[in-house]
Amino acid sequence: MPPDPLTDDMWYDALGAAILAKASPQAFPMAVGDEKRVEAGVLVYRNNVRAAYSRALADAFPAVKSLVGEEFFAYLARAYFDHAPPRARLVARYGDGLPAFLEAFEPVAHLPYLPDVARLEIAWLKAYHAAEATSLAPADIAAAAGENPDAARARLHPSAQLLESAWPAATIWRRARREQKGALKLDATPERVLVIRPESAVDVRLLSPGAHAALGALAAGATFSDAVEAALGADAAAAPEAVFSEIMAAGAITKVFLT
Amino acid sequence: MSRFSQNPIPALGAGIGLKPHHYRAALDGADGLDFFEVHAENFMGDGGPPHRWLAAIRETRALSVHGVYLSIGGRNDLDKDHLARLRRVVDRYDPAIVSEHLAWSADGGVFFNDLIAPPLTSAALARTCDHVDEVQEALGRRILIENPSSYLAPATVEIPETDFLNELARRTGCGILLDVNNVYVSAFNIGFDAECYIDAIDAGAVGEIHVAGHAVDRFDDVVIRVDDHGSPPPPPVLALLERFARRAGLRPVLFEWDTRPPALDALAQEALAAKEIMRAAGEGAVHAS
Repeated sequence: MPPDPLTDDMWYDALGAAILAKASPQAFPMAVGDEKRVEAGVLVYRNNVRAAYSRALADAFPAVKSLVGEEFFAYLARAYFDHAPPRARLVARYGDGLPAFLEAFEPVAHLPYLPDVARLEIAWLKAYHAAEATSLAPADIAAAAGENPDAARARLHPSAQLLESAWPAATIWRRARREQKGALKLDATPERVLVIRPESAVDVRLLSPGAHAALGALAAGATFSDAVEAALGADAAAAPEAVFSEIMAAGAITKVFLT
Repeated sequence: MSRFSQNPIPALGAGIGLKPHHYRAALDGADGLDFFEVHAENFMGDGGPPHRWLAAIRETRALSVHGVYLSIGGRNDLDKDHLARLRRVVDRYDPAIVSEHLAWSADGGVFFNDLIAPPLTSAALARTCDHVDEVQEALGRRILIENPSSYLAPATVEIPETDFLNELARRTGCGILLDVNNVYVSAFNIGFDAECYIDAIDAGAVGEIHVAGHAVDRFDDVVIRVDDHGSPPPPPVLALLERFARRAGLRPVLFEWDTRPPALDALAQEALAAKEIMRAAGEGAVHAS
């Protein structure tokens, strides 16, 4: 028998708990009707929510899914759902916690690069939805920097995100997205990556240590002069001209200003 | 270049729910369709391909923005950030219609990513009215509210769902988005008369009709109709559309296919077939309100 009186709060509490619980509840007194029909109704909500989140995770992490296989990914998606109630209001942000989850998820401990591939996929999605901006050409930058280019600072493209992996995460990601079969021989070499969308397509670029450090410095508000120092700090042999052309080729700068 | 923002969707109008893989076809053709409906949540990013496509499509066709996850039927205050995001989408595209759901998707900070029917009580009605007032205030315009699909019959029903919706419309000035598939699905699952539901809805408040298909799932020996928008509308769903049109006259009708949708032309055919049912039944209606 349902409690009397049945309050609104009970409806929200009971349905919310039934959806989140690892097992479907034995009884659901908030609803009336044939017992089996009520049981099935609760199951529909549980299935709808879990299936929608599984799809959302698969949509956001195609490379992770390809690397672990569809069946294991479904298991992983269920474990991710069960590890903490989802709180992100936008479905597209549901997977933001996936890299940290994967770090601690024992069944993928033998794939130490997987969290970084997931980080790259999050960056890809953010770049895809980032604000539009026009990248500057080298001539625009020279003109904007004027007499004193070393003191100039830059605004990076709103889609630009820098990542650094102890693994060849971008190479693995690229391979997984193209769904190439066969073994991939890789050294455990670190990769530095820029994810950016200067036009309609998201670009995943490998950066030299110098360009990665220089872009990181510029993103933090450094002058061009300090960015060159940062590049040299990361790689004493870095050539400033080469670093600059890497940054330009990526379309990473949208504004140059003197302060 | 023409702007369609100020043009209302014609009362005898057919639309489809627009999915990303239809963008190209929507721009190139989609002959005969009067409008496209998009889910607001898919355009809450700052930029990128979705906005590039929609801005271009927007120049060719009237738009309807369908919000999904504002949780208007929830017991908590509306999420102000989410409302601000919806407002940005509406400001950006100035659509002919803006709609949301009589449902809750979030509770106590947990986001369920689903549309769950609210309790049908006077307290829930008062709260939902406040939420709709807040949304209409924030957007500076009237919205339509869609009837939910239900899988459970609440043990306590103070106000039948049709009265709940009619009263919500009366108190807030919002309109009703009548989803005839949801009516059919709920009627089957929780046991009410779908035709009575259609007849009880305040026709003057209805600003749009949704048609869709659903799955028939079996749980042991129990059959549940699940609103998966994954097939053409079955005849009994179209019969509800016809029944409403005979009484109420013409309304824009939208066909939704969200789960593994086919090519745009196939969707357009379903929408145009629904429009034809609407025309045949609705043109002869004595009154349109």
